[in-house]
Amino acid sequence: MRNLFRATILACLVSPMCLGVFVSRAQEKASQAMPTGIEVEMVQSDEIKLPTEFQVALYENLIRQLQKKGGFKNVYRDGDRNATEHPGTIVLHSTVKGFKQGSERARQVTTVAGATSITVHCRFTDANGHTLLERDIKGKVRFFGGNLKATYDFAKKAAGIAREVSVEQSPRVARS
Amino acid sequence: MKPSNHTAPLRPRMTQDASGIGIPAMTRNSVLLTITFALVALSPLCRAQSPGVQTTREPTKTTLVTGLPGFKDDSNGSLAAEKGHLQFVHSKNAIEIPVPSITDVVTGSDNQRVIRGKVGTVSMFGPYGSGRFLSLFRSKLDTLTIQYRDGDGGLHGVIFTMAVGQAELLKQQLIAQGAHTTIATESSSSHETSKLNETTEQKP
Repeated sequence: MRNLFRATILACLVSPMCLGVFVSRAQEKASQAMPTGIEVEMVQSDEIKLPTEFQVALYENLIRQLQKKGGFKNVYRDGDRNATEHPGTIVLHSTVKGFKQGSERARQVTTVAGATSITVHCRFTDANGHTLLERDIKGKVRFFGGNLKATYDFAKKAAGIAREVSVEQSPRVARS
Repeated sequence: MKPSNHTAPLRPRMTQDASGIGIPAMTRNSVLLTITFALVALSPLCRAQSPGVQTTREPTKTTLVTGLPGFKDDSNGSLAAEKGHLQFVHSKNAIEIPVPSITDVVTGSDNQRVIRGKVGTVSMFGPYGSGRFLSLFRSKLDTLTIQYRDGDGGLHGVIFTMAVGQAELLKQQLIAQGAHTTIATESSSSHETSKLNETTEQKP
């Protein structure tokens, strides 16, 4: 009886330690498998006339969302010298394809009118410039919030797609 | 004790010259003329000392919309451009951006609900469309968008909002201290247009 009690206590002490080691190894493996980083280029709007505050808000929200849930170890800004030091860095090019500036006042007064929407063409490329994924992503604000909230909506969707890219790229990185 | 001579004739206060003008009046006129001439003569010097941009101003009350590392969005603070740095202060935290690293400064305009914050959110659900009615009352504001590069060369973008008329002043201050812009200020653009007019006038 006493032996059984001792064995139970020992098992209770040892098992969390083993679990901790297992979890930390799994995390290490996952971090090794992650692509090293992503460089976010400034959002371009050559064809569409986009106000500068929207351009900047798109860029900043994109970086913030990628840091939160992009699935990359590092998120580099446009022109960051550290990005070139890591060969596995993915580059995100974004170009504005459509923009409709709504009105916050119209949204608040009518509910149905005054929506703001932005369509951005996102292209993920590897360090050699080969395209990994291309997609049009739309950000919009329909009911509550200022016009710049459309950029937040876009950034969230873009981070989700970036996660897909990071998952696709992770086995290759692990193999290499 | 010497008795005062009350009966002594009083000296006339106003003497007149040949033209009949009182002497004190002449003195007053000459003083006024001297002051006027002095002001006219010194006015170019005053203009030379105060260039189009004031170098020292009180910090502008602003709201950070997004972009500054270490600060939450929509945090209120003060913004000042002094000694080659753009400084944003919010409670005890402060950040300084070197003005030469600023690659673009652009101003814009926006508007916001007069009744905002928590009260504003609650008022949105007011009965009989009162929330919608209150949304019609809006105040104008200026936006100041800045792009700058950090020590590693990474591009940052920051958006501030402030009272009407403040953004253009800050922009002029930043440009005077070495910041770059893709959209020229009103004063510089008017200067350029006047230059253009001069060149077109010179052409036969």
